Amino acid sequence: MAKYFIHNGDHQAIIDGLPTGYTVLEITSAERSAAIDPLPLDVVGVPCLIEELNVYTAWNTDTKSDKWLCIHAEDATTWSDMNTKRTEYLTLNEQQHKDIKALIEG
Amino acid sequence: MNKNLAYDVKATTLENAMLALGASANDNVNSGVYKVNDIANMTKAGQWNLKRPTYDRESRNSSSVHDRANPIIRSGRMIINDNFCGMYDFAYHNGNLDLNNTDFSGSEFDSMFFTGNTDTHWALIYINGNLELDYPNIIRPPVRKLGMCIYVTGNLIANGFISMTNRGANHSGAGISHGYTAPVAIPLNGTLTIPAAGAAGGGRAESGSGSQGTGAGYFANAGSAAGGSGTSTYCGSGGGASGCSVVAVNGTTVTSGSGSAGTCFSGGGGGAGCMVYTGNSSTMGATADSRHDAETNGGAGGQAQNGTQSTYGSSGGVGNPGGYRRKGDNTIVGHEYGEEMTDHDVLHATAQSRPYSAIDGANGTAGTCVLMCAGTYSGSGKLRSTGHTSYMYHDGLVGGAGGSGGGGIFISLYGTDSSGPTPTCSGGLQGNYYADTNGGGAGTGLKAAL
Repeated sequence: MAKYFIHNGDHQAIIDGLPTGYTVLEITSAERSAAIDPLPLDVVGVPCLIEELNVYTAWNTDTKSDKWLCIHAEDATTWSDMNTKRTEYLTLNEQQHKDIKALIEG
Repeated sequence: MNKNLAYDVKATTLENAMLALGASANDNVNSGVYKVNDIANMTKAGQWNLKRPTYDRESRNSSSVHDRANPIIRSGRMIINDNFCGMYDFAYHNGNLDLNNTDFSGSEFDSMFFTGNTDTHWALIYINGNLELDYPNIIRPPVRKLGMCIYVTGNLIANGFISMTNRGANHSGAGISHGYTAPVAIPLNGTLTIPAAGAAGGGRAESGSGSQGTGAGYFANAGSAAGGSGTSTYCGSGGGASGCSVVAVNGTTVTSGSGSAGTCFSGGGGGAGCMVYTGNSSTMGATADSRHDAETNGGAGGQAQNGTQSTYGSSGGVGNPGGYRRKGDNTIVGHEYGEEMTDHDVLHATAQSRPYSAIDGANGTAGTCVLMCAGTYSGSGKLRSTGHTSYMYHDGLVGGAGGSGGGGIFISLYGTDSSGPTPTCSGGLQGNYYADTNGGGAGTGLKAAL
């Protein structure tokens, strides 16, 4: 499964800490356009991770689906910062799923 | 009226236009209308017949005697590469300018650099010397502009903020726009060119027909990001996102409003969302009323208030102006926080605190800024033109969020780079943690040689 880290040249410390499996792309490069344009989303900003995450997508099912997401963390300076943002997204996805179910079923 | 105040500038690039305006600053330095006593007082104070002097704590516009000269010394039409790029106001400062954080606050720069001309004018700023900007001072126009260009003949130390966030022009000529300006390609320095059209907006998103039908998923389409090198939208702005569409239980599918494309003067706006219990595409969403779509050329965001709601309510997209929220009971509320908590009770926030990005409601798109430093470019400040974030889960919205705006354009050109900041032009964030992303596409933030 492809995973991308998008930067603007000011994020070398994050690149140095990236786990294996991420393709590093500079946002203004032709390579970034070629890799990301075919996906069903686009770059919101840098630095960001673009990858498929397993998340809730519909209120009436507790089965998660893989979905392409852009996890953007403008102030991140380390891989740990980026990973924290990704974990936060997953946590809030679960929280929102509970809230939506409560809203609709309530 | 001094006829010399109207001054059309025609050049092959924006850089050459700035140089031509800077070179003309010695002409008619006393342009304006004065009383005899003004002239006498300014002569006594050593202010008469001087080019615009550099501000310091003693010579700002707080004195009735000193510094009567207006920093805006030229206004007129700007024609780049034989294309009309809009009107401009030109502020000139002679000598080194130290915008330190003890003598200055950012709000003072409104009078030092800008006019109130909205949507139809560029803010062009020429510093004939060095510029040092301390944190946390902010150079940001007080109103929407076609663009901002700062030319520094010497060195630039950028430790503060320079921003065009929420200052993109509504150059559509419609609605609240102050006038139409056609988007055109703008050559910057012979190497880089801002394209007339930015990246595309997210198209309308069609929901399922609910838990009793084809599904109860959350659907949205992100705005496209400006392209990389060699593409048609390189150096352009980002597109706005569609709103989020959801049918919770039954009925027909509905569509959210589409985002709009970016332009050379503005990031794209966001479409309106549509979340309902029972779907009915003949009365709900963008299929029923196209005003759910964002308007082009930095215009209004999508307007959810024009559709019938069912149980949950839907929010407008960001733009100039942003759309309102129509609640499940079909009452309409704004997206500003209001002066009191109960002014615009969208929904009470849940466990999340509201993010500061929601300031100014859903109003605003990202704008265009070009920084030119002929000397050494350094500092650790923040240079931004960020798309406006739509109202979010943080705001108590669990569905039907509007689309966020696309990122703008911020390009820093330098003589010598000494680790100066790389600008960032993010799109507005996605409104929920659940749908397909309704985040705006990134614009262009880069630094390069002048």
